[in-house]
Amino acid sequence: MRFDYFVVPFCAGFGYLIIVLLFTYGRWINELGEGAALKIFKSLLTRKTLLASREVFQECLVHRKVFRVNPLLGYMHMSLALGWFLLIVIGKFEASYFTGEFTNEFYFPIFFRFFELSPHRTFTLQFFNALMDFLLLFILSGVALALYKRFKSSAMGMKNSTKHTSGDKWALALLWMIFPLRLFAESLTAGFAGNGSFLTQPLGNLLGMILPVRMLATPVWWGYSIVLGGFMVALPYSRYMHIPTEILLIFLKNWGIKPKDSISGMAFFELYSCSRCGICIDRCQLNPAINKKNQMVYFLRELRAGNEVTQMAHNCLLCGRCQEICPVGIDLTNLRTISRKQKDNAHIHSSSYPSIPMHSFSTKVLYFAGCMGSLTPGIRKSMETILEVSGEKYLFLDKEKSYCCGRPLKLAGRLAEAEKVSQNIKEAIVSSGANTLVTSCPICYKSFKDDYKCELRVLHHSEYLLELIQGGMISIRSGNKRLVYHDPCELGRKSGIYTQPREILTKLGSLTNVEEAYGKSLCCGGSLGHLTISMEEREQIQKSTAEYLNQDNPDCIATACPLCKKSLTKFSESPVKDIAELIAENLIKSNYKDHKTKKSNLAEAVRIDT
Amino acid sequence: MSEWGFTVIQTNQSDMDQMDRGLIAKIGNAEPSIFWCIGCGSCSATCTAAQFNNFSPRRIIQAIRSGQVKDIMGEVNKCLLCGKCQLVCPRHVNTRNILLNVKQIMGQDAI
Ligand code: SF4
Ligand code: SF4
Ligand code: SF4
Ligand code: SF4
Repeated sequence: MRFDYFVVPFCAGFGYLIIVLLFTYGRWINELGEGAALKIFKSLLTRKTLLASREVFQECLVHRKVFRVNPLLGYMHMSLALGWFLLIVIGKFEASYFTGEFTNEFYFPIFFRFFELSPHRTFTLQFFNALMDFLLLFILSGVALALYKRFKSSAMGMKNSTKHTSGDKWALALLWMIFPLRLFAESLTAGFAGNGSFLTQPLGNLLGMILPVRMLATPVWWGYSIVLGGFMVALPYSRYMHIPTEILLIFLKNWGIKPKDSISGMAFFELYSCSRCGICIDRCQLNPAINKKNQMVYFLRELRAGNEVTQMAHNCLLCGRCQEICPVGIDLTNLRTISRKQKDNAHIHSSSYPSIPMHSFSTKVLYFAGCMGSLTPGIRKSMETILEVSGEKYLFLDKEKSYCCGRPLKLAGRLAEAEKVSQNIKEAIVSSGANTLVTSCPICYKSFKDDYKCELRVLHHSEYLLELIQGGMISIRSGNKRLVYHDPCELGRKSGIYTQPREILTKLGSLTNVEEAYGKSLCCGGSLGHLTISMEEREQIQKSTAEYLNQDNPDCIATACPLCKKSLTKFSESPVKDIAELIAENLIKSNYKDHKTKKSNLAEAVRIDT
Repeated sequence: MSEWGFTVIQTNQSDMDQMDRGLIAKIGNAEPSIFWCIGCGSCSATCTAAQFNNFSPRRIIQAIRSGQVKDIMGEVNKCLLCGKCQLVCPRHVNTRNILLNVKQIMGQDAI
């Protein structure tokens, strides 16, 4: 057996890590809830597992999503992750090739150059040797970049980088020391044994000229082993826990496991998968307005540490901009929302909430303006006009009195109350017998679509209006106005409706694009998700978003949400209009004319009479 | 008055002996904008819940400020946190946060 006492720290650290991981993951998996085991079992041998493996390769090793944020940052992450992974795998092959048997002491490949002193002669071994040196160089370039990033994060497209805790800094220091120590240990050994390659051999020769390499080698190997072991002991308590956790998270996600509405099980997998890369920080529009460490990376850190987070949980627009860019794909807004949950739903009586009179109608289409739609008469009236012109028989569900869909309560963490409220509306929807529900409010849309689980088609009005246009039910004049479209958070990022509104707008005028669009779209500042923000802070966001959208002096800013319209109108130079309003303005009422003229003639006559 | 769509509500005299400053102390701390309220009633006029029952955010705010908190605890659950009140408030009172805070405090008392 090949053994030297210096491998003990490494082995101890490794053993400790394995025990802690098994214990921790076991507990979380236990908390995944009933049905999870069956779900996993069923998907284990399906394509899902294959897809998950591919995702693990792309995200955990290559860091494709980080590349998209910034190539240099992506390279830094990739060199460390992929480089280290290959160093372990190829090291294992090298050792197995050398000894001729696959199994060997598990630490042997890692300290291969210590144990194998003969200068390698065969071509294959020289090749392996060079490859290992190359990989080490690859990783070291990443470490150098990481160091550089500490001092100048803007070089990698980041205005703000994460402010780490001292624990994380220690772990970081250990991680950075691993590879330079390996380089020195191997070089020193190469200095007297000649078993290095293009990197370690020249360095070893150089060191050999000035230092007693034979004497120094073993202590440096000791150092390498201690740092490796130390890093593995620190790993479960530092941000590097994300390395093993992210892999499991990707598999669980692909197998269809969803987080529950409490911080347990899957939520822990998500929490510990955050690498504290800090990419989410710059995305947060609360940065200038609320100058506190409150972005997702800090929120997750506090939550993970088990600290009191209610205040932090509330200090967020739930706009989802951070979630869109998070390379790990953590359901960040959900974690904030479920942390808002309080144990206080004891007092609810269903009588507290409005109930909707139930009827059964012969119409196939229900129109629901929503609270915000009701408070924005322009949109509501435009929809009425369009629907009338189209000849579609419809029922305006909240024409007389507006109802709330329940999502605001849900966003405030009051899930049981939200459930009660939605129950009422759901019954009214179901009993109406309609097959299509059209809403003007993206907030209602999201909740009808995801939470209500009704057996009817739920459409946002932008989808429905496009259908009407494409089906020839209405026709519109095209103009040459320059339009900019603002994606509402709840419609775009949360519900994935990006193309339909744009398709309508290209029919109405020429659509110019701004950089922060689609998933990157800014929050208008009106978000119902933030309850504690003051009006001044809101206005700062509203102003900067309005200014941003006005940068090219468009003739009109188009959006598809009553709340966005309200927020942006306050500060926008060009008019802000909802898509329904734009269509109503440009509606060709040809086949409708006779009917309409008759009506207005009648009105005229009445006026003259009185 | 009814021509303008208003109705007369019951007079609401404050009994100074019954005053409970506890709630306003807590809420004033969490949401100071409660002190900006001028009692205009715009919030109640637009309130979603008020269309179905006699809920009134304005009345809640007034009750908290004048320390008449006995009845508002059950009342506040009617609020749907929909945010319409906040959009119409001329004084930028964060009504939603006030109501959420009352709900939370009430919940704590219940435990
Ligand atoms: S939440 Fe996502 S983007 Fe933010 S630090 Fe964690 S991993 Fe990075
Ligand atoms: S959801 Fe929006 S407001 Fe909240 S942390 Fe993310 S970017 Fe910031
Ligand atoms: S609208 Fe504002 S100022 Fe008027 S009563 Fe309501 S909270 Fe007070
Ligand atoms: S948030 Fe509550 S008080 Fe305000 S309008 Fe909605 S239901 Fe009424």
